[in-house]
Amino acid sequence: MKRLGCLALCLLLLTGCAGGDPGQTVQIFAMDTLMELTAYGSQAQDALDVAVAEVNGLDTLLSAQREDSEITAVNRRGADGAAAQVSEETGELLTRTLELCADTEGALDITIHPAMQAWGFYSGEYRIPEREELSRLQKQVDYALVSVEGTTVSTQGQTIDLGAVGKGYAADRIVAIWREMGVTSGLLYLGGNIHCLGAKPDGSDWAVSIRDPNESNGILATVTGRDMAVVTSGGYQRYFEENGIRYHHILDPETCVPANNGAVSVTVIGSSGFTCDALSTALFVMGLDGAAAYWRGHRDEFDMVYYTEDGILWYTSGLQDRLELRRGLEGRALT
Amino acid sequence: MKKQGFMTTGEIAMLVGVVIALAVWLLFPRGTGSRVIVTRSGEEAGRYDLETPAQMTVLGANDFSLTLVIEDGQAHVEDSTCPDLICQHHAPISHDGEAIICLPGQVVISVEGGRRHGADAVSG
Repeated sequence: MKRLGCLALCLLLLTGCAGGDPGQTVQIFAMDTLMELTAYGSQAQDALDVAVAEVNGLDTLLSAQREDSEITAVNRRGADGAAAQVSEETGELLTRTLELCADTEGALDITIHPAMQAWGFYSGEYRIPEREELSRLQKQVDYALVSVEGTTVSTQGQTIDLGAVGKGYAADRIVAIWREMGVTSGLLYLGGNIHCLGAKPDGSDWAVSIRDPNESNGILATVTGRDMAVVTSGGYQRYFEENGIRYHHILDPETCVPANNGAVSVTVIGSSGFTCDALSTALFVMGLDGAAAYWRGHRDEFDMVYYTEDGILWYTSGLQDRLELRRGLEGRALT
Repeated sequence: MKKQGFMTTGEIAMLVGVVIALAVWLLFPRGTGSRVIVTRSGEEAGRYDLETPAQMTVLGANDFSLTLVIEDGQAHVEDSTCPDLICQHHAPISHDGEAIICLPGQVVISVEGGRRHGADAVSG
């Protein structure tokens, strides 16, 4: 009978290995993208409900494409030369983002909005702006002319788009709320931005792959870790082609044309979704040399994987032990 | 005193059951049982066997529609009325967790079950 018990135990262990906490997942369309949120543990369903409400609330505050958002109100008032009142949350987020704009010397610029509009990246009605129009846009795009004092935002006719930081900020908010609720494991997919809360339910590290833009279902590398955001920006994510030339959506704020510094995609890995989101765009604009120099000044804050047009995958030394490159791919460490 | 056998009949039957279950688990092709899940605006709109060829029109949000084709154990979008056609240009999907997303139509076509890439998520 004891042996029968042993066999039964083996069976139980087998089924146990195959099972585990499957978590609860919800899929929503918000912030102009698809989001998939997964929470684990006994509070998973409550956690998802709260997260969906949070994302929808942030969309209402921050979207430059929604008529009723605070950012749209700022943009309208700014066009009339007037200041706008925003919530404390929006004011704080704008302040933080403007600090990053300055720190990246304008490689990130939240006033890129009119240029994005001119290229048709909001409407999908793509066009190439004429030289004169570009010249006008270059004068208009300047984050330094936006001023935030508490909840008062004034511009000199600039219009704002927080698209480069919105999803990262939303991920940080969800993670903070889930931590307060006692959720210790979760996985967020916010339109290509990944954010891992804690470790996997079985206690092991999360594994997040980086998409290979040249192969629809291929990957460049896989990074492992816990409590990390993994955010990728690439010209392949949104673009149009005209006369055989590809025009992508990551515009260089200085020229207002698609950034062309040899980058295919840039992945930023760190603890803050906001920082990773903002920097993935800025580092793409900077090009490899500029991005490497920036990282050297902020190496405690993030790591990056930089895929260049010559097919080389550059990665920062902090990833040395937790990045696995696809077989056959040439990788070089940045130190 | 009667000497006890190595195993009783019940134990042997149970062991045979375990061996058969293990054999099925190890030898049965992993691809079998894969499903194609179609969601529209976050709600499930259909669930299909990846191994059964099919072609269907999926009505998305904002009056967009696309043609989903399942053949040779893969799913792809044959054509779409959406403006950016990213879904149409996406390579066929067949691995667990892979997805084709049509943002304008808020349609997600994903594969569930079967072989899986190693990672928990893909950034990009």
